[in-house]
Order: sequence, then C-alpha cells, then structure tokens
Amino acid sequence: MRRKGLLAGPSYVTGFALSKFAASVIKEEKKEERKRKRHQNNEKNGDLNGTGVIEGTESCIAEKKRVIAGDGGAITDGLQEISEGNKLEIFLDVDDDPGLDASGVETEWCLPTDTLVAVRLMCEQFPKLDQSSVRPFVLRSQIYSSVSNRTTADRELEELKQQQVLRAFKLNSGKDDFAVMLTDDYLKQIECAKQWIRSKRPEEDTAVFDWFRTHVISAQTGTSIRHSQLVHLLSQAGDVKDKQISLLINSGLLVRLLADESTYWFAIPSIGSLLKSLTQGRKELTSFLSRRRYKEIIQAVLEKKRLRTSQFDMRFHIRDLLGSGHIHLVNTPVGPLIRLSND
Amino acid sequence: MWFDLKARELGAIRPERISRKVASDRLHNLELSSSKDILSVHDSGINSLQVDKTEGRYLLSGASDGSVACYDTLHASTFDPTARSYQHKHVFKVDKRVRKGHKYAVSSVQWYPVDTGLFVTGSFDTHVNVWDTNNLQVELQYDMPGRVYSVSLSQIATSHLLIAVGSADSMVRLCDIATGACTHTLVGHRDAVLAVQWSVSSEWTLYTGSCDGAIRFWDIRRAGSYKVLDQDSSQMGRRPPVPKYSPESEWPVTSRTSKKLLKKAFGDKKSGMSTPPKRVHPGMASAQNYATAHNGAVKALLPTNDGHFLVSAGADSRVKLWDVESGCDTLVNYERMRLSGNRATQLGLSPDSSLLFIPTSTAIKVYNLWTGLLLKTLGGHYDDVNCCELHPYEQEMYSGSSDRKILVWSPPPPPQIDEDREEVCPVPRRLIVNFWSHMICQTKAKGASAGAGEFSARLDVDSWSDED
Repeated sequence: MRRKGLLAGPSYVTGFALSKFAASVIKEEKKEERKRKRHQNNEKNGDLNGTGVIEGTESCIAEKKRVIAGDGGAITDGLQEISEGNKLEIFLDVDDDPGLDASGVETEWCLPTDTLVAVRLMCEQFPKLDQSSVRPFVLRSQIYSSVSNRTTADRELEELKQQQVLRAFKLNSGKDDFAVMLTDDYLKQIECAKQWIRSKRPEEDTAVFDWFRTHVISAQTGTSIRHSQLVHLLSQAGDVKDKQISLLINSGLLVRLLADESTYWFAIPSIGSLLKSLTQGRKELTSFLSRRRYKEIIQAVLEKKRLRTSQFDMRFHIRDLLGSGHIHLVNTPVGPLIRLSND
Repeated sequence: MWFDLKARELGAIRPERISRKVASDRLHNLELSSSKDILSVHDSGINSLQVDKTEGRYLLSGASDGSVACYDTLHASTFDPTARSYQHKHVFKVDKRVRKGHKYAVSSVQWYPVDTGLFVTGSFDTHVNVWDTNNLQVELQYDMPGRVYSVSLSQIATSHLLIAVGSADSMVRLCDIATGACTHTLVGHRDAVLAVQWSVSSEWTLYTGSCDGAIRFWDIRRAGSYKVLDQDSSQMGRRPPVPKYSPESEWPVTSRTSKKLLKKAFGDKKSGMSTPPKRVHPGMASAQNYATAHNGAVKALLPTNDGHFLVSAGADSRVKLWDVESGCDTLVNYERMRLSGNRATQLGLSPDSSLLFIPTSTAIKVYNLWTGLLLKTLGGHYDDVNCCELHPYEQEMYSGSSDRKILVWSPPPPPQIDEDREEVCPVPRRLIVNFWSHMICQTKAKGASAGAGEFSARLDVDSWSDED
C-alpha cells in the first residue's frame, strides 16, 4: 500500500476531509518516528526498556482507523459505508497529486508489517560487537517475543522471505534456532567475504561470489539448497568448478551437512564465535535465574547486569529466551518481572 | 445455552448446531474429573491409551512394565462415598506371566477397528502381539528387528488388514493379520521410525515420521514414498497456492561441467558423457530426497478427522500442521512448549478437530488447532505425561503418565441446586413443576373427554405430594 494518495489535495471530491485525514496520519507517523528515535536514544543511554511487546503496526492501523472514524462527519456517506477492512486501502490508493509531492512532505511510504518493524528495530538495537564483522541479525525466537501472534509472525516472515526482504539461516546452536537477516545486509556480507578471499586467490575464482549473489540468493529463498540445484544456478552465469564451490564453503557462505552430503545450508560468514556466546549466554542466564530463591527477577534489575560468557548484551538474551518460552514476563506494580518457566 | 434452546424452539437454528455447540462448550471446559476415577493397575508409567471406536466403552492401556490392561469407561465398579466418585476397576490385565506376553515396556496399543475381539500391542522386546480379548492369549506374534515404537491399524480399511509397525529399524513393516506374516517393508527412512499413522481418508495411504526428522507419505500399492514433507515449503492458511517448486523434480542440466558435477553428487560412477542419465524410478528418487519436516525426531503424527490435515510433533519443540494434499506447512505456530527426547508421544484431537491436546512434561496443553493459540493448560500429573486420548463420542479425555496414573478429564458437573431442604435435585425444581402441570393438563383434558376423573385426580395428588 502506498501513502501517496493520502496527500491528495482539495481537487479531490472529498478533498477537505481527506487532507484532514492525511494530516492526522502524518502526525501519527511523526509521533511514531519520534518514539523510535527516543527508543534509540534510550538505548544509547543504557536505559534498556525495549523488550516489551511492540505496539505494532496493527494497533497503528487501528489508531488510524479511529482517526478516520473521528473525521467521519466530514467524510461523505458513500465512503462510510465501505467496510472497515478496505477502508484504509481506499484512502491509500487515491491517485497522485503532483502539487503536494513537491511540497517536500514524505511521499513514498509503505505500511510495514509487525514482523518487519520488529526485525528492523531489533537490528538497530543489535549489540555492538568488537572484532566481529557480522552484520546485525535477529533470532526467530526474538521476533516472537515482540509480535503477539506467533502464527501471524510466521506467515509474515515467510512472505518477507518470498519478497527477498529477509533471509533466514539455520543455526547450529539449537534444534529450533534460526537467524533472520535483512537481505541487503547479507549481500554486504557476501561482498566482505569476497574482499577477504580476493587478497589470496586469483580473480577468476572470486567471480563465483558474484554469481552466487546474483543467481543463487535471488532464486533460492529457503534455508538450504541441494548440490545439484546449486550447480545448476551457478552454471547459468558461467562455468563453475568444484574448487569454486569449496571457496564458497571456505568463506562460510555455505555449510555442508553431516547427515546429508548433497545438501548445503546457507550461512552467515564468521558467525561461529557468536554462536558460542549465544549458547553460553543462554545457559548463564537460565542458571542465574534458577539459582534465585523464587526463580524470578525484576527486568530492570536484570538488564543492568552483565553476562560474563556472552558477547551479546542482556536484552538480546532476554528477548531470545522470552520467545523460546524458557522465561516469561509477569507484570507487577514495580515493573515487569522475569520468571523462569517451570515446564 | 437457554438462549440456544429458545432459538432452537423457534426454529432459528438447526438441531445439529445446538448439539455441536454444547459438545464444543463441554470440550473447552475440560477439567480433572471429580466424579470418575480409573484405578490404574500398572506398576510403572503408562505409554499408550486407546478407547475402542466401535462402542466407545473400553479403554486399553499399555505400560512400561510390559502389562496391558483394559478399563470399562461406561460402568463404574464401585462408588467411593468419601471421595464421592465412581471408581472404574480394570476388566482384565495381561502381563509377562501370560505365555508369549511382553517382557519389556509396551510402547503402543491399538484395538482391532471392527470389534473389541482383538487388540494389537507393540513392545520394546521387539515383538508385536495380536491378542484375543476373550481368552486373553497371544494369537499371533511378529518378530521385529528392533524395539517397536508404534503400531497402527487402518480405521477405514475394507480390503486389507495390515498392521503398520514403526521400530528401531529404519524400515517400516506391514504385517498382515490374515496370513500372519510380514508382507511389505517400506524403505526410505534413515533412522528409527517413532510414529506411524494410517490415513483416515484413503485406506492405502500411510504416514510415517522418523528420528531423522522426515515425514513420508506412502501409497502401499506402489514402491517408495510418494511424498516427503519439507519444512521449507509452506503455504498461508488452509488453502494451498499454486505449487511453485516440488522437491522431487530434478533440475534440468544445461552445461557439461554441471553434468559432471551432478553425476558426482549422485555418486554415479558410469563414464561417458553422451549417454543420457538413467531415469530413476520415482520410488527410488524419493528415497534420495532427504527433506526434513522437523529439525529433530518426529515424535507423533495425527491426521485430522476429515483427513485433509496432518499434525506432527517434533523433538525441536515444534508442532506443525501440514496440508496433506499439497504437502505444505500451513505455518500455524503452537506457542511455547517443551517436547524433547526421542520418545514417541500420543497427541489428542477433539472429535470436531478444533482442539489439539499436546502432552508436554507434566501438563497437557490445549490449543486451538487452526490458530495455534494456547487455550488451557491441564495440570494434574506428577510426572511426564506420555499420552492423551479423547473419547470418540463423549467429551472426555484420558491421559497416561509416568507417575503410573490414568487421569480422567471431563467437563464440570452441572450445578446442583440446593433448595430449602437438604435434598439435592439434579434438575431445577421449576422444570419438574412445569412438566407435571403440563402432564396434568393433558390428562385432565383426556379425562374430561373420556370421563375418567379418578385417574387424573390421583396423579394430581401424587405429584403435589412429591413437591411437598
């Protein structure tokens, strides 16, 4: 959905009401933007209260709908009769008005899904890691901690994967661990890997990275690829040799499975050290909680603590464990309380 | 409830709808039964439970000490006045003292689908036994190469009588009761098979789930599995989109080098580039398809009652809902549970396929099957729950656990109304009064017409004396 139409000027039939509506939506949007900025600032200040459930764009839509309803008096009856579901869409799909485009207000705008908002937010809040070239990624369990409906989250994630916005990677750290990374970031990682290999190998070998990026990544949205399929996709670009595929494996873009030698997993290069701190951090946090008397702690107190064994910050792990169900949140008068789940 | 009855009276809703609504309300309110106890005779944990589908009366249980017992769920044997509950004792029990009885844990029990004259048990002592219920003897015994994890008999089969057996061996075996021999071995899995289920819509279709994480669909009339479920192929919601890519289809080969690589990948030792690649038998091709449905062992499979969907539980703590027709994951996420260890479990599904019961550690979690929302957690066992079984016709659930107990879960009893006197009346007094006055009017009218006033007067007296 595009928001251009929102800015339709007075030339439109219900122009006045629409512009009023558009103004309110923009106001909402700015508010959101400010909120997000505040969030980032909070993060910088070390005030970590970002683990709560994101209000989400759905509630955002609901708010906007309310705004529409509020302006209802001015909107013509015909529009009011339109069902709730496509009301917004109709507002959003109105033709362009060049006059307002020039005025400099934001013109291109897509309504992102809850999942995408959550992923982007968490990518921004990804802990600063020294001596690691890994671009920010999100664990799938972390998404569940902030999107309230898991089925919706799964389906939106799948759609985003199909649209090449995100990529998912199977991680070795647990049976149900997946990392999610923005496709742009992953392409940058491939570029990094290529630069690293280029210093050692001749030019004709490194061409395989470009082929991989253009042909394989765009064609295959899943987490694994079969050998025959990989060869087929790469050979569309040029003559591929075994050596070049092993180059991809050496650089960490592909991982071979022990159980099935004809299948590869896609992987994020040089993520290995992070996986170790992921599993150890999880273990440290759960054992810390289980050693407390009632197996619970106030979230704000917990977030001030530092983990010895993990490179990630506390918030990263809390989100991960919340999503995987090892811990759960209980609201108390003194703020959210984190309790170890007993099952 | 009363609104619905009124609407039914007016003809606003259909009769089956009200019965469905009452049944689903009762299922949503399942709790630990206060008036019904099943006295378990087992000395160790219960691994498997099944209520017979013919009468819906006899509950069969298999335990870790190798014993199998049967309980009558309809008629109580005694009433315990202190606990105010009806106690159901076992009808029979067989254990290792019976000739050819199971020595080790019974992992799976199943009634013969036609009547309760036979039942089938599979055990860790590598045997599958077919028992005669009337004389409690082993009629047939099949020897398997490894521990037996799961046995299954088709509920709808009319032309075959095959027990599908999943064991520690990677091959699934089909044993024919009619001949007493093993007729098929299904090759394709690469690890022990924990879950075996016949389809409820086609008598030839078998679903199997294995420790290597694969779920395979078999048509037993053909060689090889015809479908291997892949966790990467998914669909939104209940209707499948047009399938874009099926894992079976091989990729066309264009360049020469890739052909060479392809051969290398499949281990083809034949030389000579000009010969076209040998066409692989579809059954063999699927044997080389290593797609996985779960990242871990598949612990349980359960088809929905209409046969369109299949629920699978994996050791990766995930439960997935698969569309049987397209073989795609419907991406329903059943939140937060612990399912670990390579042990078979038994899931429960309500008769209208709306509620899913999943045993997780010491509790049973109740989910909405279509949305994946957690509705309720039923806690009552003191140890790991291994199995749960829904009554096929009534709104009742039985669960077996490692704490040696079989618990009964039933809807709460109807509220009892105490009026001024101490006596407890199950039906509201006003209804009775209405009923009697209605009867009296009728008989009076009849009496007036027939001239038999004595009878109506006596009834009148009777009913009102009862009221006082």
